[in-house]
Amino acid sequence: MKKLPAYKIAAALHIPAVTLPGSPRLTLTAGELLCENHAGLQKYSGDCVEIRTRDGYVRVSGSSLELTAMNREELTVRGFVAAVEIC
Amino acid sequence: MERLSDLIRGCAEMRITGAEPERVINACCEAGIDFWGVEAEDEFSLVMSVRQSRTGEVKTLAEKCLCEAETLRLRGGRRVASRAGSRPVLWILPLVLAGILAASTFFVWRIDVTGNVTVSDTEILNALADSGVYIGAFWPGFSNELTASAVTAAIPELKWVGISTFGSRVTVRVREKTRIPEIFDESLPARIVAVRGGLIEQMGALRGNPLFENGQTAAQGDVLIDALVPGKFEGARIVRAAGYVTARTWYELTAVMPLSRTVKEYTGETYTAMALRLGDRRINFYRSSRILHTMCDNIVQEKKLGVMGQFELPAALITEAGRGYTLKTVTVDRDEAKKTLEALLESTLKTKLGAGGRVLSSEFIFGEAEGRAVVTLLAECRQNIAREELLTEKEIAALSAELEETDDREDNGG
Repeated sequence: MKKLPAYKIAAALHIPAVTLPGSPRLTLTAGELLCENHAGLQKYSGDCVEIRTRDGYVRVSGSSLELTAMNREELTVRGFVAAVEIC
Repeated sequence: MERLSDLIRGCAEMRITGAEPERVINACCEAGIDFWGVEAEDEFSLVMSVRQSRTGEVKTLAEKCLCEAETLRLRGGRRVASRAGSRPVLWILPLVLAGILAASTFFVWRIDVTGNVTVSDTEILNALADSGVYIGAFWPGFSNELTASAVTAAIPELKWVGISTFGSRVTVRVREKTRIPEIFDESLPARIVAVRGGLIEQMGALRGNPLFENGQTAAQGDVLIDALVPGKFEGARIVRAAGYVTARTWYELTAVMPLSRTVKEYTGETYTAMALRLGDRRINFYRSSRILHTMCDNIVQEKKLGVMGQFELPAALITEAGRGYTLKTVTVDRDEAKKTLEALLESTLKTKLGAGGRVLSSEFIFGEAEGRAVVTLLAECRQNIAREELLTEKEIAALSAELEETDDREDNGG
């Protein structure tokens, strides 16, 4: 049986995805992207950073991207962020 | 601050090479290894910094992730310690300086005196020095209470002294005694004399024997009201004369001022010199004390070294700035000179007349002589010319003898 993503279950039950434990959360401020509840890095370069999450991965594109802080729960990418894709 | 922490703890720059170097980052994160400065060199390698003590763990994790880790550079930590070990001056000098700094806080480097009005700072500082509190004194060696008592005893004008020690700074707060007003002793014999000659207009003798009448002229120093009062029934007696004598007086005051004066003309030359004062010694950071050979204005600023309000060091940084100038002679405007002299003369006359004096008429005469402006003030005034003069012991004795002689004569005659 195929496992349904948690956010799809939450959407079906009309529960806000934010309330789900372990759901990834992205906060984008000027020149800095904070990702909470990540599952590690998929790809890391100066113009593209791919962050694994529980339900897929987040691709951050831009230039001069740099991993400034990382621990088990969250990581911060600093630089010029041109696009954020949720795959 | 982070750099200093890195230098003390030691950090290593490592290159991770492999098919997926990101896996090493994830593994480090999982293992709780701190890393920073992650830079991707290309698709298969990246550089990051970790603590020197964790390099072995990073290499093990890299092998598990099918990558290779190599140390590029080591900074701080043991390397710095080993270098410092071979050069003792690097750690001995800061230690010695820290020791000197710590020791200096046990000595008095500044004394502030507040609350004194009539007693001078020097007097209080001298009394403090006699009690063992002076610049350079070891402050744990003296008691604030005992010193305050000694200063109070040494200076009778003080009623309270409080001494507080804040590190190398001593604050002395004082309160002075309230002065007792002078008691007017009516038994002291005195006479009233003319402080200035004039035509007496009004005379009122409250006590004593008036020797002049209205309309008479008195010269300076004349006795206006005598202390010896003749009595019709009890004989003469000596009293403390009191009264007022309003007279018309005339003044002729002259003031002179040169009609040329010298002013500064700045040449544009400037200099700045630095010096360090250690205790009583001064170390100049320049060769000559007068760099400008012409005349110059000197502005000296002294900045004491230490932590503001906490403690002070016996050292100060002195900055001297100078502006060179030459002297130029300029002519003073006659009207300006006249106005200046007139104002000066008016002020002088006002001082001479006193509080109750009044100018009835005045005239200024302006003239020039030998390159100088001369202004003469002719004024007719009305003022109190009475001044009390206490009799000397010799005069009192002479008057007493005269009184006794008169009494004896009257007794014999009677």
